[in-house]
This record gives sequence, C-alpha cells and structure tokens, in this order.
Amino acid sequence: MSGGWLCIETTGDVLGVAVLGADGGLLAEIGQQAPRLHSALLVPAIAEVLRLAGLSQASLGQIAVDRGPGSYTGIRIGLAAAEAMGDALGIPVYGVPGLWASAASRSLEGLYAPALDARREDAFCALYEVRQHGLPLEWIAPGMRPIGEFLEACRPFGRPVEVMGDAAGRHGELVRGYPFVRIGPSQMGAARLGLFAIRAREEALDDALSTAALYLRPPAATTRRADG
Amino acid sequence: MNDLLCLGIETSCDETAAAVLGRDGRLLGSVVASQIDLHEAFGGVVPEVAARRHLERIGPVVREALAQGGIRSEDIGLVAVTRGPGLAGALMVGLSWAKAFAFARGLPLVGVNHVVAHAHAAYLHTAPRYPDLALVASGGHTDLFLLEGPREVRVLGRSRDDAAGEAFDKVARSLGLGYPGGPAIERLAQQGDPGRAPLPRVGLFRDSLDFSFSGLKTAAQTLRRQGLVPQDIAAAFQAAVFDQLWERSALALRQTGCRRLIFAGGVSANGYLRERLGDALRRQGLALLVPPMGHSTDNAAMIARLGLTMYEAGERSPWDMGAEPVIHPFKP
Ligand SMILES: [Zn+2]
Repeated sequence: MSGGWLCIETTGDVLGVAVLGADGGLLAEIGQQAPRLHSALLVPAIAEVLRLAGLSQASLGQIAVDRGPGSYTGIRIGLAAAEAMGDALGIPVYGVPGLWASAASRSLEGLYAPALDARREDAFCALYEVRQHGLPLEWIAPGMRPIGEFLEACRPFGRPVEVMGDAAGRHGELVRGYPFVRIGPSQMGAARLGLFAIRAREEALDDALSTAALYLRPPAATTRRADG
Repeated sequence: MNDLLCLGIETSCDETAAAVLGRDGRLLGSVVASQIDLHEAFGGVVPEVAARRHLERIGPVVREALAQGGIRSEDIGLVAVTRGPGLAGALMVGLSWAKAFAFARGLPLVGVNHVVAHAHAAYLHTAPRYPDLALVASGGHTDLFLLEGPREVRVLGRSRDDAAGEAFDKVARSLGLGYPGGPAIERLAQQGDPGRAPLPRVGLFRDSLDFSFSGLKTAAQTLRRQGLVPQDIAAAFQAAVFDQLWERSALALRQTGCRRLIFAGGVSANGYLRERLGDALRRQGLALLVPPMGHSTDNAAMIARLGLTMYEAGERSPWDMGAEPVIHPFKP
C-alpha cells in the first residue's frame, strides 16, 4: 500500500477528517462540532486537513469512510464524497463499520459497547470484546434498540462494560444506573477508521469494508409529491 | 480533447442522472436511472427511500455516463450539479458527490437551479438565446419565467396550489390509473370527448400570471363519483390544463414581447399539450421550443447545459455550497 489515507467521519454531530501515512501514522486530524452542516463543511474540512498534513489530493492512496450506523443523511454525505474522490483519483475506498471501529480503537482488553444516540430512547449500539490480538469479537450485533433494553442484554456477561459514544451522555442518568457500566469517550476521531481498515485488510476481512451504507433500519414510508 | 467537458449531476427527486456535455454542444453521455418502480406502491416519492437509492446508483450512473463517451475522469473540465429545489436528502447525495469529485481533481464547480435547468433542456439542440420565455411544468413545479440570462431569471407566475404534474397524478389515481399519471391520462383521453365532462375554467388572478390546478383536480374527481366515464374526464381534464397553460403563456408573451415559448418539464412530454401549444403559437406567428426527445423529464444533460452557460458567464460555486430544498423566489 502506498500513498496516504484520507479518513472521513460524517455519521454523528462531529464532522471528523484525518490523514494517515501509508503505514497508519497520524499526519493530521480535525474534529468539528457541526450538526446538520456536514454537507457544506466536508470538502473545506478535507482541504484543510490535507493542508495540515502537507499532502495534495493526488498523493492520497486510499480512503476510509464511516458507513454507519448514525445519521442517515450523514452516512450518505460521507459515502458519496468518498466514492466520488475514489473515482476521481482512481484509488480504493473502504467503508468502515463505525461501531466495530470504535471498539477497535480501544487497546485494553475487555467489553466495549459503542452506542450512538438515535433519538428518543433509542441508540445504535453493539457489544464487542477487545482481545490481545485481532479485531474485537462481536457479542451483540449492531442494531437500533432502546438503550435500557440493550444494557439489560449486557448484564448477563457479568463483567464491566465500557459504554462509548454520545448515547451515554444523552441518557446519562439511566446509563450510570447500571453498576457494571463504565463511561468511555464520547468521540473517537476519524483516524480510527483508517486504522481499522488497515487491520481488517491484514486479517483478510475485506468483506467488512464494503461501501454499502449501514442504516440498520428500513426507511419510514411517508411520501412527497413526485417531480419530473 | 480540446473541448471543455462538463459533468452534470442530478439527484433532486426520484431520478439519479449524470451526463457529459461538451462546450460545443455535443452530448457525449447521458444516463438516467429512474426510481419509479420503488415509489409506485406509495403513489408518490418517499424521501428516505429516494435518498438511499440515489446513493446506491450515483457511482454506477456517473461511470456509465463517462463510459458512453469513452471519457476518463481526467478529461472532465467542469462539474455542474443541482442544488435545489428538491428533496433535501436526495439533493445532498448529488451535491456531496459533485463537490468531492471536483475538489479531488481541482475542477471548477457550478451549482444550478433545477427548474431553470429544465428550461435549458431546450437549449440542448440550439444555442441559448436570451431573453426567452419559459414554462416549466412537472410533478413538483409549474413556473412561468423570463430567462434574461443564465443567471438572471424573473418569475412571472407559478402555481398557487398543486403543480400541473401533481394534478395529473391525482386525477389518474382517482380514475384508477397507475403512477405516474401523465402518460396514462394522455392515452385514455384519446378515446374520450372533453365536451361530455364539464370542468370549471380557472380565470386569471388579478395582476398575476399564477396557475391553480387544485380546483380542476377536485372537479375531475367529483365527476368520477357522479359516474362519468373516465375517458371523457381524462379528455376534459387535459383540455382544461391546456387552456390554463396557454392563457397564461399568451399573456406573458404579449407582456414580454418574446417571440417564442420554451415548454419543458415532465408535463411537456405530453403529446397533446405540445401539439396544441404549438398550433396556438403558430397561429400568432410565434414558435414553440421543447427539449429533445427524452429530456423533458429529469435528466443531467440539462444540468450540464445550464452549468456550462453559467460558467461561461463567470459563475463559480464555493466548496461549502449547501443544498437549497426550497428556493423561493428561485435563483439560478
Ligand atoms: Zn424536475
């Protein structure tokens, strides 16, 4: 693999972009609190992170992008931009499962529950075990569920669980009521996407790196008038 | 390649489209992926379903448009994209794609108004000439406007309620026809007699060239409940739509002094309306200008056409250009 990694994160309130060297070394990273502004701010953020890294568009070798779950519109903004840049530059694009990559960004062994706010009582969440070697093992598959229901499902494991992501902050009182829960970081940074892609490719898990969006929910069927 | 090639991208509603147009007017590639099958069961477009399908299709559609003309991404010199009006989630797919593609290759970007682009579809087979009067009628809009330049548009009239195409869809549904309603009503109307179904005529609003189709739609639905045959209702409805389109257009032509009328948008694919508008204009020594076959409904060639014209007039859009789901009064 040659050329730098561009990492794109647009699935949550924070717009994240990062540039890694071919070996995965972090060259530059930006995180910007920008709810509902990802469509306008993504390309300017990419221009800025490339400038900070001292790289041109043409020196990129591949792109890693969060393919969900999270904001539906955000998922699409990131995937569309990543695919377009991949086509324009003739370089591969890796879609990264966001929750798995969040767990993989933790180095200490144990149970990790990335959980993203999905409005009302719901969260996009999953349970992983970080081990000494290899990518984290999946115990509860990614899905959208009431956060309380999810934490109940974590209880029988009988071990501490670190809840990561913005759902913990959104439902602080409820989450802290579970004695086995430890609150982890709410933001993980876009660099984790490239690092995950590098490890997944080393472990020949390329299937996990498709560019299909991970919405985890069927669309709500309310109609608008057609155009033509 | 010496010619400046413009890649046009359109995702404002339920068609994912890409096209490559040369500055010299050659259309090198044009692909439209329709989602009609997806939305048919709902009788309208489901925004989240549309946005998801746009993301799945945009890559393959752009690649196919390039492949049709044997064009590589490095041959493109300009990117034009629809920024509105349209469905927010759908627009953002095309915008994100277009901006990232242009940025990656260091190309200029031009965001265009979808309705103004519909009118520019008529310039796909003849060079733009301003000023020109345009009537754009589709499922999402019915607008009468004066094109004073690629970036100067003066709205003269618009629908106060349903868009013309929307009225076609709703009447078609009440007659038990499928979606989209336009082609179905046109076929059925050929076997009907408009004189047997009395429909109200909508007079001009005072000091305004605005349209109204909602009353017409309701009256057609009432006639159906009263047991009139669908063929006659379809024929009468279509004739009443023509009367209204022509009345407003004729007045606007007189007011502006324009010598021709551009008729574009999905409703302009209706053969009956085209023919009658053409006849009416000819009788006054005026001309009808319509898009080439297949370019009345949403497509990306019209986006590239307007984008190129605006680019030549000095337009450059910034990287932080956002979607504009509602542009009112609309900007080019
Ligand atoms: Zn349209």
